[in-house]
Amino acid sequence: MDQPSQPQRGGPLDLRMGISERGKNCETCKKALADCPGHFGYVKLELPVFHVGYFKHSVNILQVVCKECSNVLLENPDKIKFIKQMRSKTDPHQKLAIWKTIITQCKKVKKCPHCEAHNGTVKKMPNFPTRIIHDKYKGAKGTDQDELIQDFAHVFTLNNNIESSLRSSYEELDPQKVYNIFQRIKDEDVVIFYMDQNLCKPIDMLITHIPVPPVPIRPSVAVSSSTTNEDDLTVKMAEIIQLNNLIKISIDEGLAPNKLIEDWILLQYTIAQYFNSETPGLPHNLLGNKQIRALSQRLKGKHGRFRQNLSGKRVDFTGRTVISPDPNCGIDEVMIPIYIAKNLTFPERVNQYNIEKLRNLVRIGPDVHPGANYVESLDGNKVLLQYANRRKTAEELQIGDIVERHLENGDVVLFNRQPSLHRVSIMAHKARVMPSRTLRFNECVCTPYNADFDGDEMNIHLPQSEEARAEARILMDVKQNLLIPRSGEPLIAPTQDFLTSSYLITQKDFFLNRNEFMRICAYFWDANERIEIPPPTIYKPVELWTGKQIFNVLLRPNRKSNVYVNTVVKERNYTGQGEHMCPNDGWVIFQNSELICGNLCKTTMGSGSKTGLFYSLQRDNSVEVAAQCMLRVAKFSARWISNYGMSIGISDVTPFEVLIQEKQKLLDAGYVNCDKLIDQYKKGDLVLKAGCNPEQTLESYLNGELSKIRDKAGEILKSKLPKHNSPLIMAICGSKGSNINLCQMIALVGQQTVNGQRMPNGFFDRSLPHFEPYSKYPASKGFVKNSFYTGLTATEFFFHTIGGREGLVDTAVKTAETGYMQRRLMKALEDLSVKYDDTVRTSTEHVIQFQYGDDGLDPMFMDDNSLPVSLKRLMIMIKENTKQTSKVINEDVLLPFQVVEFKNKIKENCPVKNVSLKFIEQLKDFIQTIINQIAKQRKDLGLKDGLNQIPTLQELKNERKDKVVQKLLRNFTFLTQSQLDDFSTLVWLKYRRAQIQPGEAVGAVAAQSIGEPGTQMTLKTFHFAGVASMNVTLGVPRIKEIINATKEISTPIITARLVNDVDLISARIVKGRIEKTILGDIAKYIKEVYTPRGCFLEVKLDLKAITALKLELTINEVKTAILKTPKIKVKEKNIEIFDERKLHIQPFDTTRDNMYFSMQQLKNMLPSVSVKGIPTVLRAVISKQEQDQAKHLLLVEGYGLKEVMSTPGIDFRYTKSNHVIETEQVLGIEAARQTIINEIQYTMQSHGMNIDPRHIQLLADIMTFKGQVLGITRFGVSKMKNSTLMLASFEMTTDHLYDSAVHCKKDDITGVSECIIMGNLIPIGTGLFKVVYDETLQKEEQPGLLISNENENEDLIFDGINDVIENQKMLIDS
Amino acid sequence: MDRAKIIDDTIQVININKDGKFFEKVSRIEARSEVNKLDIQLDVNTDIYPMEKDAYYAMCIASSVNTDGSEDFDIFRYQHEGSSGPDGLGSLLDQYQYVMHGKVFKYTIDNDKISVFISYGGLLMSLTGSLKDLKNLEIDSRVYLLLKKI
Repeated sequence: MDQPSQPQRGGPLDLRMGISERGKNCETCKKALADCPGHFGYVKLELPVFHVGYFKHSVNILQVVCKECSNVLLENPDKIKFIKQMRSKTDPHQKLAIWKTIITQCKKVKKCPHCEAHNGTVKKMPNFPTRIIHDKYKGAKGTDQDELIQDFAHVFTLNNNIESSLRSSYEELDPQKVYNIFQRIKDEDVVIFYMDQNLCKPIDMLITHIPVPPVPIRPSVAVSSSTTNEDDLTVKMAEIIQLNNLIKISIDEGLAPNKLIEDWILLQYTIAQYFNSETPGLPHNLLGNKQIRALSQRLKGKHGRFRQNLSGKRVDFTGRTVISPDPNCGIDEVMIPIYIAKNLTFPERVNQYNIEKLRNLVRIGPDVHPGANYVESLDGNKVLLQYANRRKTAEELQIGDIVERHLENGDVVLFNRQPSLHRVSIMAHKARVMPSRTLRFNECVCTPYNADFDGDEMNIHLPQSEEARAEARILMDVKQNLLIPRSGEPLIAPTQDFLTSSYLITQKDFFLNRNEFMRICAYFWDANERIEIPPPTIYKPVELWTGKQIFNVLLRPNRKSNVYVNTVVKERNYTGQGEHMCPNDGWVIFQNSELICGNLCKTTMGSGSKTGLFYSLQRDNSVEVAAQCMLRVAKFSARWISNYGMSIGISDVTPFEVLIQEKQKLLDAGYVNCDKLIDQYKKGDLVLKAGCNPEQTLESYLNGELSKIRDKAGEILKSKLPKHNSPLIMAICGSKGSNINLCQMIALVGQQTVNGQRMPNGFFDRSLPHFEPYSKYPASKGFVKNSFYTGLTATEFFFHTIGGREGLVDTAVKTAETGYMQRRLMKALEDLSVKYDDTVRTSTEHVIQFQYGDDGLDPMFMDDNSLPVSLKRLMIMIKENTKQTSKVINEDVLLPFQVVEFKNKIKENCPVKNVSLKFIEQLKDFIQTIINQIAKQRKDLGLKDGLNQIPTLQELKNERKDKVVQKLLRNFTFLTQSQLDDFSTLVWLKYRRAQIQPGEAVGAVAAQSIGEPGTQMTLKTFHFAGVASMNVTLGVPRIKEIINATKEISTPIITARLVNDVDLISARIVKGRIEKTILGDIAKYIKEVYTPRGCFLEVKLDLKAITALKLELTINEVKTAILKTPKIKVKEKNIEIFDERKLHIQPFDTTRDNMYFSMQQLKNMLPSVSVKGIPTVLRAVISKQEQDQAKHLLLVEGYGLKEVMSTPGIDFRYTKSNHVIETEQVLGIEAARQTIINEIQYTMQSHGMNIDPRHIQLLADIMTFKGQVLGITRFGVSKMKNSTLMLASFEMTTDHLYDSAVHCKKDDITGVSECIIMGNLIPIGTGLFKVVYDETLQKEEQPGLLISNENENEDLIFDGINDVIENQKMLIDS
Repeated sequence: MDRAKIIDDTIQVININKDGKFFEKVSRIEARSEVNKLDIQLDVNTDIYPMEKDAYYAMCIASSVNTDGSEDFDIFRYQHEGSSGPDGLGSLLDQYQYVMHGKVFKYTIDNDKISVFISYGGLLMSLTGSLKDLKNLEIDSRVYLLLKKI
């Protein structure tokens, strides 16, 4: 070494492998740092070494081949059979299964059928990561080992013990031996090992030469001028080279073999560590304790190559900053700071239309906002405008150049907030460049992003091509995503203050004079259209308008506007009677965009309801109209409410006198009740709830009693608080807060819970040392009787913090758990899409569903009642829109029988293909209700109903002449032919629109629809199914159980229908047959009896209890039950039936020494002997059916569906379990699928989440389409998919990579993950179709494109599309 | 003038806010008409026009307040100055104390009893009576409600 900083030649930093330092040049390609890609080197190992990744497969192959002759340990016919099988199958899972059978078959072979050599089991040496042992003589006769013993005969003279240990010795198969064995394996046998003789033979699994990766991927980092920090790989490689040299010296110089072997083993470990530093069992004392970042670690995990750099990449043209609200910003807009706008550029190509604009931008340059940063001319020259002569560049701008201009108003940007849990987390907005430093958008759009403004940051991306812009604008626009694809409910809707102001202004007693009315109209208008002010509601004594009229103007500002809303909503404060005459004004009716009655609260204005105002607006009008109206509401609300004033103060939460008294009364009464219950509990008089012990019963009663106090206080508040109380207003209209919040602030905080129970005992027998032990009183178990206003006592405060902490922990745990669940769901479902033949398939073309959701309808377009079209609303809309038209007025009203004719022909006249029969039935039903309605009205008016009694022609004529009758008929439901025709046309138009489109990524949407609500679920885990004691796991844990296809679920429950479900007695009998009864339950006593003749245990049965429990049990059955019990060791002769209630049982061991102990043992065991029922059942509870309270059903907790179903008295046809796997085993895969659907839907619904069944069906289908229930876990997913890249990017990255290498798998890069990794377009959605066009076929003259026309003048300007068509026609003519 | 009048009757207030007071400025009046025997429920802005229980009022529902019965109003155009009719002379407005303008929005039938519902910008009115008395109240038509204390 002449220079200390010069890397050694032949060392790990050899300059021929590339460089990692500036100023040097690569010795191979002579290029500098930036250009040299690096070059691989290799080290030839002196001795072969096992590869950790292929170690398992190497062991398997050694198991299968003869260790002497390297032939497969199979008779030839068997071998040929397996080779044939391997060759004929293409599915990797099937091949793997064959390989596994070969292994098991070969394990049984003791002697090689070809060379008669002994072969035993081959396995990894315990506690050593890379060593293999061969138990050659396993299962062989002792004499077979003789030859081995003979070999060592001379040693025995020295040490006698050797012989015995030799018999139990193993042979070690070191890599050299294995190398020799593998070398002898014939090419024709390779296929048996599920390998490919052309690509990967067994011998290739041993390392003889180790590749040295190029220097640039493991660069040295200079710490100071003389020292460098080397990459982990470089360090390890240096160690490997050093060890290899040592071995070389040992061999060359013939040093001691034990030293050589030691080095060899260490080399193996080092190489193992080089590949995977987490290899289990590596001796860290020898290798250094530091965990290095080895090759495997570079690929694996969240920050590994696959997930960090291949599945997701850093991108240019993005921005990120804090967000803030702006009610003046359009729903589909986002306001972007100038600073960001100047940095994000769009490459706009110069053409004749924009050249002047772009010249101007170029002149302005990069520093002033509407400017440009770069110009790229046609020849590829890129000019940075910062330093260029901008004036000159602008002049020289040519058509075809590309100008990278600043982001400008109207550009499409993608807006995103993490975590991107569903597709509406990224939406396309229109940019509006504004001064300020934050990204601003309308608050209505907070919900999809789940954003608030407490410091949240969001990202924007600027799509860089016209194609991308078009796609973003059409598919991702905010306006296209007003509805959530999960259920079709509106997601983007007014929130918070917008709701408050809508509520306040639509109060019945809100009146405005001319000034005020005009001002509010101006609030929501940009003075860009004409507003026609409606006539006032009150003319005299003063002119007054009502607040509701504001909404009329807002929706339909002038008569030219064709916005029509018709909807009826039951608001949250509807009293439940009188419909529109509701004294609270809680019944909302919109007729032709006129608010007839009702105050507008969350149900009408907000998200989550399919009857609301904005839902109707977008369904019956257009998304643009809905967005526009939403903006108007936002503008009006923001301006009006800041003037009106909405504030909260101490006076708002000060309890009033009535409340204080009422609260005290409630508390006193409640406490007295609690004391009574506690007394009863102490005395043991408490009436037990079904299946509960006294503690549970007491807790449940107390819980009810205490929550009643708070509920009642809340009711008092709601009715007695003054109408102008701000918290009350917000609670009523649903903008923020609830009754509970009101109650906690003003009246009392209420019971604090941990895990759904009252406060646990943190000290001995009490919750806090302030209370007496065993105290069950409300205050000592966490009941807070103070309100936030009055202030909490010390103990109350402490309890409150405990409850608060639980909430915080919950959210933290939940986010991690649901995030992982979401990722797994996405990976399992990502590549499903609807194909052009209407089937749902994976990327490998496996059919998952023949028609999406069985009807091919898009969940996002599901209207009211899960219909693709809301028939009711459509009919109302048509009638409202047309009834004033002259056409309808001059038309005759249809008679019911005429509508019946229409109804009968619906199916024949349907113009849409693939209409679900269910929908046709529903349509028919709907028409029938209208027919019935009309008929009834005719009857009421004294006419023939036209359905059963058809009026004669004369009668009809008279009827038509009679003006009064006609008028009346038209005042009620009526229908004319043109209305019916319109209806039919629109129904089918809307149905067609609701059908799912080919390419739709139904899988991804389903995964998001199930995963995203998970993040919102409170971890409230339990729910009482009918009976207080029967808990069902719910929430995230339950969803996890179902999705993972867990074998042991926490609350398995079988719901059994009874044959006789009316009679309670017979239900009890059946319950007795099922529920496990132990001897202890039915025995009056078990006592020891000692007599001179011997001793025995006397068991006396409690016959009263047996009859009370309706058990069908005789003493003989008890006897057989005891005999059947395992481990009890009682023989038939030991049991004597004394009479029908007494049994005498002798102990099995009557020897003097053991008799007493065996008596005691028997006495301990007897009470737990199961005498009746199904042993796997924990208990059974009789419950009432939900629909029919008179009928009973049996809820059985535990496993054993098959046994329950076959129990007499159970109606097996209606008996089901909530356990997916058990259902699969007992009833089959289809039943399992249905169970998955039911259980997920049930869980989601009990959390108030509405998910379209189609999503859940798809999930259930992907879990069951392989014929067995596969969980969405690493094991399940790897059975569903074949693509290595996809599996590697999911979990167990390196295992999948090694497997694929060994089995020479192919990946056709069709799935989503693979395509993303390879940088291809994904074959879903707009990437589903391809242009099939061979450009080589048509080299000759092509017809001119539509616009570029060489014959005509170049700067031809078209006035419109008609000119283009004309021009084209002329071309064709000539 | 009479052509415009659809219902012209005298009503007696039976109840004010029978179910309790829900709104500060608006009360629900229950009344019965003397001639046509209609059962009436009506929301009135009692803040500016207090009504008394058991008192009698002249009530008129008219399609127009112009003397000639012409309909010059529709919801979208309102000419403030023209409120006293085309001839500038008398209008129904001058003869009553309390006038509201609204829309007939619902008809229900229960045997021979008919109920008609009118919304005056959210202030509701229901008229229940026999077929012949209410037949002239057409659905969707705009009407005036005029009240005067007798």
